[in-house]
Amino acid sequence: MTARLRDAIPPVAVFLAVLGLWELTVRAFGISQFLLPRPTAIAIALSEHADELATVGRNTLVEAVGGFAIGGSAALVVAFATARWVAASRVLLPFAIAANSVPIIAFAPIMNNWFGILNPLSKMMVVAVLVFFPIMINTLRGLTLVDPASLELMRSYATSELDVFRAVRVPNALPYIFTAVKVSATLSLIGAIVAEYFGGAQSVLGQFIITEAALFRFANAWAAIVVASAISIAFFLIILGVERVALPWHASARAGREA
Amino acid sequence: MSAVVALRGVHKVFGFGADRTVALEGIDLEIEKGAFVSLIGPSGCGKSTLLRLIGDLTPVTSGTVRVNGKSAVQARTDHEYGIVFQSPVLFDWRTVQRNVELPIELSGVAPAARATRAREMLALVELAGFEERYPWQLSGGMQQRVAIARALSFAPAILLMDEPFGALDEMSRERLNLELLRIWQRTGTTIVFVTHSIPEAVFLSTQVAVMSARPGRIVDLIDIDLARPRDELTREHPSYFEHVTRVRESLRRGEGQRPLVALAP
Amino acid sequence: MSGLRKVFALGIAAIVVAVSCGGSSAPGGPLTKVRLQLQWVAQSQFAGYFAAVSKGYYRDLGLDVEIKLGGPDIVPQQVVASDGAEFGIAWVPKMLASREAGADLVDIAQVFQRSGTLEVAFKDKNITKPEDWKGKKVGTWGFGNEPELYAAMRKVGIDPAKASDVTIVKQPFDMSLLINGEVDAAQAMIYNEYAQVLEQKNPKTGKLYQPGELSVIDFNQVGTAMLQDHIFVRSSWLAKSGNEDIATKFLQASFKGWIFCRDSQKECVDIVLKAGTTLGAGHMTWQLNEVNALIWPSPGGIGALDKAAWDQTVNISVTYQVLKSKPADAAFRTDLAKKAADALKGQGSDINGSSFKKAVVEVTPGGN
Repeated sequence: MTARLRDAIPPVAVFLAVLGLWELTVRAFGISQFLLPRPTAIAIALSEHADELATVGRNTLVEAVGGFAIGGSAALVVAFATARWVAASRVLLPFAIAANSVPIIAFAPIMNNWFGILNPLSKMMVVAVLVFFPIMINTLRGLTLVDPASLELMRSYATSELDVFRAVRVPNALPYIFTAVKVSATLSLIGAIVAEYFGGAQSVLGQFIITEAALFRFANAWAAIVVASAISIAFFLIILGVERVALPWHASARAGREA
Repeated sequence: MSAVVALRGVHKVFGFGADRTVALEGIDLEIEKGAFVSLIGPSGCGKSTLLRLIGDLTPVTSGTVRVNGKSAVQARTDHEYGIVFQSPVLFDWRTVQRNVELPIELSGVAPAARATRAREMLALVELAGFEERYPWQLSGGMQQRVAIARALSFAPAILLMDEPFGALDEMSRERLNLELLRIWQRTGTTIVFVTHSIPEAVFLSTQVAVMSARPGRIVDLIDIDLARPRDELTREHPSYFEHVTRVRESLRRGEGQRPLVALAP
Repeated sequence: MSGLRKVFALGIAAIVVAVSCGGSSAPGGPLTKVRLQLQWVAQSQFAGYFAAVSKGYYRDLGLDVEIKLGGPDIVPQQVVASDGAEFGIAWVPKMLASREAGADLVDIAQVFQRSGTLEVAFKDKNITKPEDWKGKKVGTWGFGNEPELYAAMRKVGIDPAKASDVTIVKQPFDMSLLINGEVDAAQAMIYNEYAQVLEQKNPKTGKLYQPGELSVIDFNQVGTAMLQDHIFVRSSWLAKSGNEDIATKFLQASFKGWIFCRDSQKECVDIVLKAGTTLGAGHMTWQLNEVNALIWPSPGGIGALDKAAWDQTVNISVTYQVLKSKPADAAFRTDLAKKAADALKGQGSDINGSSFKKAVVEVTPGGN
């Protein structure tokens, strides 16, 4: 058995044990379905509503990924501009901080108004605002938190500011950027689901959860939550994969393993 | 006159008003082509600052610095020197070879030429075969050798070194001292070497410049006329100990202390 | 003066007797505390209960009632099922769904006899019957409020799940989407959101929107209406000794409150306004009028359950998968409501309201 497979056994075993305990506890204490459904009930709900869950999951995923792309791109642009020009930072930073402070509850209805309640873009914009700040601030850190000795070395080479960016600041920032991007992946799905709460198309995860919960059909609501989590994890793993490819040195250095 | 580095009446002052610190005062120093000059002095005497003035990494307050016949600013722009710091300052995201290529890559040298040159330099520091490793896979001493290879990659006339072996253990240090002498002999580069260690300064150098405590002045310029090539046996030689004592006494004088030992004039 | 002292003593005795016996039929002890969980925020929809508190009807029967307000994220069935309240107000399909999920709830008084749900559109969209929804953008609040609408659609062959048949839009709890044209038809309660449209100015005419500018589809007429506001409790609570008596008293006082709100509407609106509603007097007056029309006439007496209406509600719920299967009859009880209504009838109250007629209420701008 390879090392990776062996590493995976403990978490899988714990997960199965938790599920088992959950099932036994609900059965033993006769806990009502509307307080805590059994894992088996959730599994049944998942298979019964597989098609509908796939559709609503896909629609919500589109909102999450779209918003992530919009917010992420804007964040990178602002971070680079702020790192390069001090004047830009004075102008842009206050807006970035303001954007971070606006609560979704105030924001989502406004986005529905601006972009149209049925337009997925209105949900994407909520996600974009949510992911903007973490990505921007971490990128900025990575670009500016450079070892002063590295900068002194570059000075001895008498290079342009652009060269310093390309050779030192950007590679230095990549691990920071990926950390923020990984956090934003999960954040974007949550943002999409919460934004859906405020109205719009019906066939989305958020609506599914609300309707099922309102009708006390919590096994279905939990099934939708499982789907949302699965999508989140998949998104995260994709980014992890991209990081492995883009920064082969980083993962190995952290793990301390020889190439 | 073949002075590659010439400092005249150099003063360096940091800060203003109440925080004003005079780091260096009235420095006059000439370094001949191909020399190996060590700068030694108590902590805070400004020897690292002096090195950085030569490299135009910090400006003089008054006085002149000529490097290879040019101003320090011009010399930096023209890549007249390479520099090695106490920490290797290698980039984690570059392989060993690409780290060595960094300066010549920034100067716009083509990839094929860069690769050849980098491999040459790595062979020079006896790290052939490690081209595709990453810095964190190398020991501290090996990383410093990569840093030296990098500093020499565009064949500069001068090599500035700021306590490059300060973070290493004694054995690695002595080994790298021998390495450095070998490289110096092969390339003929003029070396300005800052160190805390009297034995190291004596072992390596053609001359040792002894500095006083702050404000830093050069109190003595001692010729080290030990035979070359120098090796482990050199460290056992009586004249080696005499030179070490001389440097030590100069240091004590520079710190304002009375001599311990009577020296031959 | 023995004669005068006798009269004096008798007088004092009479006063003491009058004070101790007058008004309260309760055993002079402490009041029983109970809690009522409303389905929404304070408004005329729950006027009867506010009136019963304000006029002391609950106190007269020995009850100290705490009214808990509802809201978008408060589910009354959940509150009652987890012992956060003894009594709750909810719509029948939702209560039945909770029951199916394991909450042991039972309908003990069907206060609203008819459904108040409408689907409202502007006249120029030409939506006058369910068939006209095909290919349009139709709004619903979701949260389990869709079945009447979906049943009406499926009845005429429109599948709400198919985007090619109709676009279902989840709307917020206001009429903004209808007014700015983002939906062609919006869900509205006749006593609430419908009036919200009429209380706004039509930018084209400069006057308030008129009923004539709107076309309305009433689910009672379409035949897919379901029973709504009723009072429910936990059967396990009811089974405990003495609680049936408390429940009957609660119903009696609540019914008295509703009768008061039918016969003295203006005073009733004032009570609602004082109860902390954020909506204006004009809107509350409209709402009380429409709510009364959903309660009165109550052919079987207030709170009586019409079996045919119940069966229709259950059938639609099962057909459109709000419920998995029909509930047992233990889902409702008629005895307690009958007892309470008969007691009031015995005191001379009109428990049927057969002569009630909806008034014409003047709509005020913004509902103020």
